Amino acid sequence: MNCRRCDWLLDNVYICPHCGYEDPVVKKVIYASNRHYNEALALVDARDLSGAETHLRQALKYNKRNIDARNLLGLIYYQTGEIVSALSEWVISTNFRREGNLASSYIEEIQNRPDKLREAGNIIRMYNTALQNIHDDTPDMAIIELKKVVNMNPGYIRAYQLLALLYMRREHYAAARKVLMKAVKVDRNNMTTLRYLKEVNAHVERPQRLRSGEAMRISDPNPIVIEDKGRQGYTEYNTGFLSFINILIGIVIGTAVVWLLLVPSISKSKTLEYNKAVVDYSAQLSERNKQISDLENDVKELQDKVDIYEAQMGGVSTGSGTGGDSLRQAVNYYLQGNRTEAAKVLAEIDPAAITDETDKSIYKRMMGTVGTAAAEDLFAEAESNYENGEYLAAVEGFIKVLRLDDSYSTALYYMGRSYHQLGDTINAAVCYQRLLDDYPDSSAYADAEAYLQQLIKDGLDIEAVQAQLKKQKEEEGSGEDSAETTGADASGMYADDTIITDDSSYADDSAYVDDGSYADDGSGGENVGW
Amino acid sequence: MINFEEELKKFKPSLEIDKAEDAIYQNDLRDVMDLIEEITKELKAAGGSRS
Repeated sequence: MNCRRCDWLLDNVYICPHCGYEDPVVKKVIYASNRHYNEALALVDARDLSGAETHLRQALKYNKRNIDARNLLGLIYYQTGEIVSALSEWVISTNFRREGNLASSYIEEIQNRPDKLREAGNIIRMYNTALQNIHDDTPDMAIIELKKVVNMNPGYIRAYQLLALLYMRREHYAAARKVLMKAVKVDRNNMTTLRYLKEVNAHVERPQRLRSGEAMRISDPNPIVIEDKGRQGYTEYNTGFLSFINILIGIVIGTAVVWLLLVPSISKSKTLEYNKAVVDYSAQLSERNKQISDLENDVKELQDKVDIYEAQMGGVSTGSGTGGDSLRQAVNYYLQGNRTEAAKVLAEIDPAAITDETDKSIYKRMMGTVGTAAAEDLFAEAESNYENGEYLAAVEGFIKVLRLDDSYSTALYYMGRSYHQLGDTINAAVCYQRLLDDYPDSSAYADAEAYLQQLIKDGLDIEAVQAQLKKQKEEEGSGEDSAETTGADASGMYADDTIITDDSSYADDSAYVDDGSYADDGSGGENVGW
Repeated sequence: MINFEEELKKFKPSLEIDKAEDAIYQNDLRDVMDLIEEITKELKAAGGSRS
């Protein structure tokens, strides 16, 4: 409106800013518009959006330039889901006044969020689709669409109302009431909503709420509950069978829980125990294997020693066990002219085992006749064994040679070497010492002495050697008669250059005899008698 | 008692956002002040013609 005096535009004012004229009519109109705006504000505070809308429309009817009223109307439209109407009001508002207008910021905010604007467009489209579905007589589809709409925009009053109306037409009054109550929360005094709610309430019985005091008050401490026989709905399902089914389900669930939670932990602990046991057993097994290996080594060593003893004892036992028969066999070989075989058989015989005087005489004469000649062959054979590294056989052969002919100092030397090679240092030292004692002119004297010195240097158990020599000496003394039968005379053989000696018993006594044997004295020495 | 068919007829499709411009143009913006101004002009015009 323009000033009636100067025709200046009055923009929401009743005093002309140009001429200062106060227009009483315009003043009343502006006052009326502002009064409606104030009423609308109060109603908005009370969440009565419909009432506020009515007042704001009235305010704008009085004064279309009431910017605040128009902006507030736009906000109410926006709140109730009428986006297009809201935008219209704000655009008009900014058209009237661009500077300092909140509507500009509202529009700007919407324009800056295209996704929000797109969503608002989708909501409107879905609402229109729902309306079209109703017209096409597909209310189910309409309900689905409207549910989506109110989910996307919980302030869309018209969608609530339409959804409630569809529910009401299907006589789903509880659902309709629920929807309408949501609409009431947005707009408390919407006439349409209240009218629908009234209709719904006419069909739905409101649950009677007991006051808190009454609900807790029990006049009879033991009230008698009379079962309503007319309503069988609940009792029909509360049967023993149903209880049994429930218990069964509970057991199944409990079993499943145990299976899922406890069994894995139990199996895990069992696995850990099993692994630990496996580790323990593996350690024990390893230890046992080590022990077995050690024992096997011991057995092997002992078996080797047994083999040595058996080899040594074999000759003796063979000779002693078959003394008479062997002697007769040797005589037969001799009578057949086979002196070598006769000597070999004689060498097998242990003279001590011959007890019969006649046999002793025959043995003596046979040895004197074939012994020396056969000794050469036996020596060659034993030497061959020595060179081939068959030291046990070599020792056995040298013993036989010395039985047949005790002048074979080299046999004694090689026997010592054979023992030396076998690791039997004590018997080796005994052989070397006896060679030094008994054969000072032997060609092997120097070598025997050198080897004996080496053994001593290497830590030879001298006491054991001495004991062995002493034992041999005693046994030779006891078997002097046998020595006489062989014709062996060792007098003077124990020379003064004895390296190992502990007493004078070696000085003037006889040398070894054919049946002499030095037994193990417990110090590690072996029985190497011949 | 609500007549559902009548009630349903009251629900009109919402305007799409791209049609907001049409809604603005169709808005009747005349207010009381416009009426007063119009009446004042008519009164002036009538007074002028009478004189």
